[in-house]
Amino acid sequence: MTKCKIGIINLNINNLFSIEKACLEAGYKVKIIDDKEKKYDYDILLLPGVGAFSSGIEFLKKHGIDEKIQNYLHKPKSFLYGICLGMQLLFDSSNEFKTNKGLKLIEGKVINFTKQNKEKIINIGWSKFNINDNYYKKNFSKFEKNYFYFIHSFYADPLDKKNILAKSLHGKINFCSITKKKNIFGTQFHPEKSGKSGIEFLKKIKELI
Amino acid sequence: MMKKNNKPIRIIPLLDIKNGVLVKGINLEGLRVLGIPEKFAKYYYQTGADEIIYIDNVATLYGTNNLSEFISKTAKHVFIPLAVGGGIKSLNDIKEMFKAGADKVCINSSIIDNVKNLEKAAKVYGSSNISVIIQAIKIQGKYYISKSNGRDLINKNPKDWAKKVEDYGAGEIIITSINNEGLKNGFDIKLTQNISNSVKIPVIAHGGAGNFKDVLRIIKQTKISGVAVASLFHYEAINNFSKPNPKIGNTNFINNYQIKKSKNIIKDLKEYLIKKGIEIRT
Repeated sequence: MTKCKIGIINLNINNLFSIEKACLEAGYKVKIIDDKEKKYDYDILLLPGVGAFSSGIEFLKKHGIDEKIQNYLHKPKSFLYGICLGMQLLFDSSNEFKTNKGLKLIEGKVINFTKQNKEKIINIGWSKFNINDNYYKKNFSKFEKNYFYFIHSFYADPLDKKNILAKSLHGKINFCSITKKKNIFGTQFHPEKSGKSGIEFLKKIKELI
Repeated sequence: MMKKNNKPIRIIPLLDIKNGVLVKGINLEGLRVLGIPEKFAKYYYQTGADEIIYIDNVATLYGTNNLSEFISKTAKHVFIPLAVGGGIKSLNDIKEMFKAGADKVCINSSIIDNVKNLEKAAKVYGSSNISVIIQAIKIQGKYYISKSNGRDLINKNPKDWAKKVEDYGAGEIIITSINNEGLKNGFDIKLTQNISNSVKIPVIAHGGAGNFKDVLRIIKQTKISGVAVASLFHYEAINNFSKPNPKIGNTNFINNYQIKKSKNIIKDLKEYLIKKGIEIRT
């Protein structure tokens, strides 16, 4: 069997070192995508992300990556996976700093934890997730007992609740920590920083949906 | 006491690095060479650490930071968050750390000089990726903070300083008690309470962990999110490696050290804490 091939989109604002090494550890063939690539030919297209929503989306648009992602998604057996900011970018818009439009691949907004008060609240640390009953799968639900690493102050709020695959708790807020729509997938946590369970999760992502 | 955000308490090995080797001192002085940092880091990752902190001990003093090389070597095998500090002065230094594979940077001296530097860093890289180290010293009952790893005393109260760095965008605070550091006699509970009660951002306690009870006590009596441990882990972990052959530094200890049968110290600590009812990641 040939190795599953992952292409990692380079947003140029964050380090790709960890995600690249984690994908290798999980047994994938990995390539960091450069601007010149016209067509994406990967089993999994990975949109990583640390940083601000606005700089992320600006970069994608400036280099025409948004269109290339659209084209990629039309291909049979394509699979797009967004991590953290990469997951948030899949949605319609975000109110980080000012309202910015996203990739609009999944309906919904990206909001921050405390819109009501002025407190700055960042979700840093390890949490579990609870899978939505409709998505119950044996090989997936075993991950419910594991902790995953989160570091963010904004989260995606899918309009169609069907696109919420799992939720996690931060304070009193139960937010969407895994999203899914057809061949589009996203996690708010960082599997590449989630220890051995993170590597195991990366190995299984294609089986999960 | 209620914890912030009901998350498992993070158990974080802290590695002091000098000239490329792992060192450990007492009250941040009298450094002994213990071994190769990336070997310790990999071992800690494999045995259940929740995060790793690297601090370059002499970076500020000598105006250099050569951590990049170790970060890359470490990040290759370590799939938990890696925080890095020591001598970070500019946005460019921060960029270098992230490029090498760090997930967070820890800043102290350069923001004492100018707290606006913190605001800038938090804006560009996001608060959650910027941690602030506060090194507190107690002299005749009065608390001060310090720069350059305990070398320069600054007449500021640690609690006031903690609130200020929170306002300027710090994502997390690592509070080190220099008086307790390396002595293995327990944490400064009062100091840690003071800090963790006055800010909303996560606080990590550092300095003094000598046994499992010390760790339990600081978790139970304060609102910390994590515990940074050095000596207690390093002097046990050292038994897992063949002796290094460092060319520089105080090698007397390591050269005369007799390797013992090793215990899995992080696993043992975590099991102990879970038994005592603390939420811990396994």
